[in-house]
Amino acid sequence: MCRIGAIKSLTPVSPSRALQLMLPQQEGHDNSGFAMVMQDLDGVFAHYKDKPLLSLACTARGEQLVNAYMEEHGFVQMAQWAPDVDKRPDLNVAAMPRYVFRNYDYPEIYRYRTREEREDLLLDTRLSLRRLLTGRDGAPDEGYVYSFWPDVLTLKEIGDPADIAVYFRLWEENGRLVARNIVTQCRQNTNYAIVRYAAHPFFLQGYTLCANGENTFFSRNRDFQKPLHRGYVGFESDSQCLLYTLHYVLHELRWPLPYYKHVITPLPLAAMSERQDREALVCVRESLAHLEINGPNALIALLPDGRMIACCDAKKLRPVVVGRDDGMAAITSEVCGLNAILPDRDTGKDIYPGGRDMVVIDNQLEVRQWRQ
Amino acid sequence: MATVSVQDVSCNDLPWMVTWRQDKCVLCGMCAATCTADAIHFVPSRGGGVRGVALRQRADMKYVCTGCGMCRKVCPQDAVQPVRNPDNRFPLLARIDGPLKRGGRSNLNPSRTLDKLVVGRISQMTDPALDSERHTFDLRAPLGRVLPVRELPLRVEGEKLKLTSSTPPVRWIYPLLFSDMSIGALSTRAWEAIALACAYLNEQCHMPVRMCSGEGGMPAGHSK
Repeated sequence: MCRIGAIKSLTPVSPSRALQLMLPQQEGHDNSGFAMVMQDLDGVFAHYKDKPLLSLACTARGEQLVNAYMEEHGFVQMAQWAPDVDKRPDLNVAAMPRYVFRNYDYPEIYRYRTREEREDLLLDTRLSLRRLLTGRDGAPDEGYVYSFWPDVLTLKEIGDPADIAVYFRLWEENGRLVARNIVTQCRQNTNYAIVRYAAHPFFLQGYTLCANGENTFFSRNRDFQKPLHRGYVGFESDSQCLLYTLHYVLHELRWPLPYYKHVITPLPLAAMSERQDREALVCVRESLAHLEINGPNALIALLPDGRMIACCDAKKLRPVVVGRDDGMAAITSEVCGLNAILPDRDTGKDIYPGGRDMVVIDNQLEVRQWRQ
Repeated sequence: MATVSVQDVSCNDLPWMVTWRQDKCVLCGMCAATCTADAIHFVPSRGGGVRGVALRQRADMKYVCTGCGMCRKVCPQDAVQPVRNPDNRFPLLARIDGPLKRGGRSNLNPSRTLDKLVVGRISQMTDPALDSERHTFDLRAPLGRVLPVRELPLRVEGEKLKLTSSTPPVRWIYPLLFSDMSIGALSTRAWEAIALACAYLNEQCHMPVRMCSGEGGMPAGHSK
């Protein structure tokens, strides 16, 4: 159980907005963690939007290892935002020693390579860094590498979200760290130990996803996904399967967006048999049966082209609401969060997606609702 | 007569049994008064004992004879003494969580925890609670040659996927499961019954149920 949220704004906003969205939602999170992914950055990263940005939380030795690796592989450092952290003693934050948010330029040999080759390079680099920072016993001793992608920044931390914001000075709206899209999550304690890689939102090659709920088909999904793509690793959280399915359907198979919903929550066979496109739907269901999810879920995803989507599992057992005003749209678990950041919106236009709906917000803030 | 259960404690389960010689006992009562565990007492006894009274060891885990021998020490007649019981089930019965429940067939162990659970609705068992009347479950499984997704003849047309050629036939059936026992171990009668049920479900109820014949195939005479 946790609380998820996403903001899409025409003008760049600071992470404090995301915190204002999440902090009122105290029905569903217990202030044990905060994580966010920012996309379409402005501020200090405004001039490097096409250069990959590395988001890393590590020890001193971890940073050394990463620096050595990147240099060896030809990446040239271009810009860095080293958060000037506020190390007040009474903060409830389990902070790592170093935080690295660094823009690199591609290695020289990649100057004329295709977009796909660059995407593969970025993924492989991130996976190598992840392995580098992992000790022999599998524990990420030296740090966590969250994302390495142009125009994307990830910050994940354990502790009270308000204190995390104080620590990273996110309350100070100085315009340095701002973005048009922010996907965020606040954690509710589970039976499992806190692992930073298990924190939503998850990121893979431009696709970001966070979910609230449980995926009870986790082992089935994981066993099917592991051999599909080298990027499907980790599985610290059962909700990572949702991201990997999104990546597989949209990036690998290149199917239209509605088919993500058809894969994760297939229609019952009786309902399918009455539709015109039943043959394709039945084939999709048969071949990707192992990517079906089960259990209560509400998810928010951000696509590489900036579209934001929200949908739920078929039985609609986790809350999610979409609202907007003229300059900003937001998706979140509890409507009190929307009231905090969009108090003057027309609440009559709020959308509460059902079990068969998908809501899509595009870059012009047009909100479309599609029924399966 | 009260109901007796297999797990009831009797004196034969205890590590020490108190033997009482009724031909020697003079009913002084010293043994019962002295017993350190309060394990023995005198009870009325019809048709036995000494003048209608007998010494009885308590069949109770709280008052267990420890074999200290005080009863023998104080008895003027040496009529009572504790004897070690090699057949005792004390380690099984004296567990903190209660007596060890034996597994196996339910006639040996009638009251197990799972037997005591009463599930009225599926919503009691699922987490979160689901109401089977509101939430349907699709139990069918595909039978046939399912193509790997990359081999599906699909083409993207706008926002839709279109099937461009035929695919191998796949039927969605209710798989008929008969516990997890080898179907070949069933008797012919049980086999016939399942085959009849399968035919009934298909022909009368129009449910696409299939039956696996198991190793060994169908018994002779069935394929008439």
